[in-house]
Amino acid sequence: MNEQPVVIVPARAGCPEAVLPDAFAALQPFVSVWALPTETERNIRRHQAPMADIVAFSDAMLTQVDAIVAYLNGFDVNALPPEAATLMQLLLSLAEVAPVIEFYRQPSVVDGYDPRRFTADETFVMRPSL
Amino acid sequence: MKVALRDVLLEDLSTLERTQRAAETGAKKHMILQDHEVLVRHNYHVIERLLAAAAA
Repeated sequence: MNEQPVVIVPARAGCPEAVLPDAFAALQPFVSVWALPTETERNIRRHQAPMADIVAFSDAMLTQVDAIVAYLNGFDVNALPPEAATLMQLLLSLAEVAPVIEFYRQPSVVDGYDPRRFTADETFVMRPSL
Repeated sequence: MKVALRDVLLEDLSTLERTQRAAETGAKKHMILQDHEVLVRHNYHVIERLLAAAAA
């Protein structure tokens, strides 16, 4: 097989860390790792993160997920204020790792195709403006 | 939803290159498509129809 290795994108240097809405400040420790603006970055993070970190992130998010969704439903998804956009990125990362927790019990798809060879279209017209 | 769909596609794609290599050997002269592969079947149906129309 002509598999290619997962490419690790380094963290964005020089950017101040994004903040969450006050009600969700307890999730702040996860922002630097999981608040990522693109599907590709979230997928790379999923494959880069240790399983224990994925479980810790998922557990923390699931305790507040109903409140998060209710909060975000108060905004236009294409015009989120910065704090809400950060929260939305965390929610999308939760979706990204859901199959890890619920199906595969490991970050990658079992016997799956290399996700880096199946490129996401980050400019798709229905993609939310995050 | 999109993540679940993509991960399922990654499962399916894992067999694609191996299937293509096997098909290219020519050892099998035909492939049976089950009912769930209706999109693939329809694709061939349309191709056959277009070729027939062009030949007519």
